[in-house]
Amino acid sequence: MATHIGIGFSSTSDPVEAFKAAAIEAKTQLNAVHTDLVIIFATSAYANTQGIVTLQRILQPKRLIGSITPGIIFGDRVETRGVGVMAIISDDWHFSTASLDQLNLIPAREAGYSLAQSLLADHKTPQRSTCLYFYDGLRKNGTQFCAGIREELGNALPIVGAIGVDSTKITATHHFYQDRILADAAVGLLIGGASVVSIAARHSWQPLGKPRIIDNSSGNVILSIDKQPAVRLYENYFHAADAILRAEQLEDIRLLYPLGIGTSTPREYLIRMPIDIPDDGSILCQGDVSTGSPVHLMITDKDACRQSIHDAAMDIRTQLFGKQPKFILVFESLMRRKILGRSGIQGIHAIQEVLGHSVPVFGMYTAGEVAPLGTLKTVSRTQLLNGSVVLLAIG
Amino acid sequence: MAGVAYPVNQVDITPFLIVASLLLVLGISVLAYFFIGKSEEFKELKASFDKMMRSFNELDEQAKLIVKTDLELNKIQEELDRRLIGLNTLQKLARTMSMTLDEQELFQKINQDLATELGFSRALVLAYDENNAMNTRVNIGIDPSKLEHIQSELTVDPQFLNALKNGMTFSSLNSSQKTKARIVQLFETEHFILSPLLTQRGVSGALFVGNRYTSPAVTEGDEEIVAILASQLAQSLENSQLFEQVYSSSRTLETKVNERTKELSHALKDVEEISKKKSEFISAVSHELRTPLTSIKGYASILMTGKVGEIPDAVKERLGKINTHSDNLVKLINDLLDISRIESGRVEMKAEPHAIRPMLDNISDLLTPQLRDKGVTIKLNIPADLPMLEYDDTQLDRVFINLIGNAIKFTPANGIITVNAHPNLERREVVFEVADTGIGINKENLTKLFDEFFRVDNEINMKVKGTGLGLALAKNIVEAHYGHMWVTSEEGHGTTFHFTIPFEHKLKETKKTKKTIGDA
Repeated sequence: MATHIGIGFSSTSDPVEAFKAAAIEAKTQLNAVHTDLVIIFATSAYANTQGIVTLQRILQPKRLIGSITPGIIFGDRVETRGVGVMAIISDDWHFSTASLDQLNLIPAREAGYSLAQSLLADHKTPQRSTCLYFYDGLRKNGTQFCAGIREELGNALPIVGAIGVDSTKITATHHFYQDRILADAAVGLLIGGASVVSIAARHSWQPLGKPRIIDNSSGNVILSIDKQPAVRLYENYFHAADAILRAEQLEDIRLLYPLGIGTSTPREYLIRMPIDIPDDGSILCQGDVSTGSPVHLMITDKDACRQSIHDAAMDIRTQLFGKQPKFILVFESLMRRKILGRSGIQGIHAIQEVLGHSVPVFGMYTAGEVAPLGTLKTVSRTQLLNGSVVLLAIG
Repeated sequence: MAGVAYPVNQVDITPFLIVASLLLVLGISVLAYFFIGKSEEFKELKASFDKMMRSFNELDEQAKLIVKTDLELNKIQEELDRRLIGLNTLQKLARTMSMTLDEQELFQKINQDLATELGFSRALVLAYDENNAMNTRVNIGIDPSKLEHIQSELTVDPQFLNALKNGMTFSSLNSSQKTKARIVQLFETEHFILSPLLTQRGVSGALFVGNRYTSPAVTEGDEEIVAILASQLAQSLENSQLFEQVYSSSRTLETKVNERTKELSHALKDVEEISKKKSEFISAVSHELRTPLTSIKGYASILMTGKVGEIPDAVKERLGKINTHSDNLVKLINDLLDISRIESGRVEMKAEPHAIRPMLDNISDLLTPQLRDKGVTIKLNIPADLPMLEYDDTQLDRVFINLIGNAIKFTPANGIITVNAHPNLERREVVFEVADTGIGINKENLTKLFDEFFRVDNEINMKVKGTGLGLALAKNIVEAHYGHMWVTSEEGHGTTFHFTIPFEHKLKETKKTKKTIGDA
């Protein structure tokens, strides 16, 4: 009984060749004809059906899911162009996968519920260790989707997810599922039988300026803060009218200065990335926001970002009682990437420094992360996060 | 409406009213006191609240400053990161460019990956060809059907032409409204940089890079990096063109050299053939001549002895001349035969260890009468520690006799002939010099001196007979010993013949060397 992991990467310009090279590299490490599961993280230029078909022919996976991303994370480097492949063979674990497309036609909560149902239907064993899903970055209701998943799978099951996008512009998103490339879709993976699953999520944002109160919100739209149109908050800090904010500084606002929503735990904030500033002066967030919640403008810096990855890795180590996991999946926020810039890799290095250099690390940059806010102790609070790093360790 | 009357007791309520009034006054006083006190607390509370709000507002003002500074720092950081990535990319590109001198390969290095790494989605390289026409050499992300239109529009844009003329890079940051509008429309990009490809010979083309509308604007740093890229590309292009020229010239030269070598090779073969035939001819003729000559010489000798009858003195004198001339002719024929044998490889040489000094002493003794007759002195500067050499003593003897004999011939009275020998340890050979203080030889004749039958045209040679074969023979003998012979001379001051003999014979392993003269 064993589990083997193979990781491959290629940045060859020809997508088909890149898939081929990455698959061969992963297969070389596995030294097996078939694989049980393949996870793909690729940059948007590699969303190529022929490439997937080529990879299928080489790795012959029973299950395949993946997402596009602006950057692929490995233990020792970050690649901003290419295809990354993680192939798994395991006698210990059971995998089931499902996909759901045409998300625009289904309410988000219902869609999440439906995906979870499909996952359970595909899962032939009662053992469930964790759920992983990738959601469409162009959909603006990630919280409800997450709630739908949670509703079906239960609050006790650790759930991790990521919102896949092409770049910080969020102009397109695609997911990989079996031998297809899906748009406007979500794909999920249910893992059963894994002996240990641990999740750590950290953000490094700190509140800036005076606290305000969200006095009117609806789902993921903040209508007013302190009895003023929500956008005034940013206008005050940026000394700019909403039109200019929208036209010129939305990316800065989105990535560098998110909103921090106060939670019931003191000094703990739920980070919300504004994704749009509609003409009515409201702020559209990627996740739901509750009326009456205190809200802050948030800020962070490189050191804090790096430290938070280290802290998350330490958290995993504590949860695993020092035992080495079989692999680690990393979901790192695009917002933090923007702040870390070229030094982003230094933070990633911390993962293997804490958990061991032989542990395979594979990950992606995301526009939103799904994980319990905190650790497994708060597992019931799995929700859509922003600006966070999430580590999922399976051993 | 009927009513029921109830009896009422008349009670004096005045004291109650007084008490109630007093209580009311007291209550009001207490309340007044309480409210006055609370009001103070409210005031204090309000003051605290106002203070807190002021602190929050101050905090917010500071936060605005922090946001402003942080935003600037982030932009600087981003720009720095972009520059570092750009420079890193350029450095990698420079390395790969330096590895090729092929123009086509060079353009292939400007690819989608490079453009993406530099942060651009489109790129175009236009380069002048040999007919001064601008051609597209690289196209990334631009509709090929639009290229012709783009080129024709660009080549009439004043800013573009000015940039080419002055070698100036310009971009969407600093271009004129008209040019910017034209380029934006032509390339369907919002942000762009255009840089001429400048070489030492002038402008060889232009590099365009651009981004679509959703990408970040270009910065001055981007402009600098693209200018460096254009400069690198131009430099590499120039190098490749120069290399192509040199390579092409070298190919032409090589072809010519090959053709000439072939011609010379044929000629040499012809010459060798002729030379061989000449040697064979000389050999045959010499043999044919020697037989009758031997008879002539023999008959002349018999006649001279008077055995066939008394001969008059006049006839005897003539017979003496026949004898002398026959001897000369025999010597000539022998020399000819030797040369012929050397050249045709039919002379075997026995290389054995010998000391040089005894041989030179013998030669000196042998030539003493001639030296004395001419009043010429000979000096032998042979180091005592000169190593033994392996040579054919008979042949080397001929070389020294020939050279010293010549020296005697061309050295006037009271002249000095010097024979030097000095070892060259590095080359493992002994260098011999036979120098005279004679009339010298002019440069023109020096080059022909070792030619067969060549005799310098001078008074001495006119008086003294010779065959013109001695030096040719000497040179052949030296070369048969793997040595070299050459001559230096200064007219009016004398001539020096130099030759070398190696320390060890090359065929020493055979112990008793049989070196065929003419192998050298």
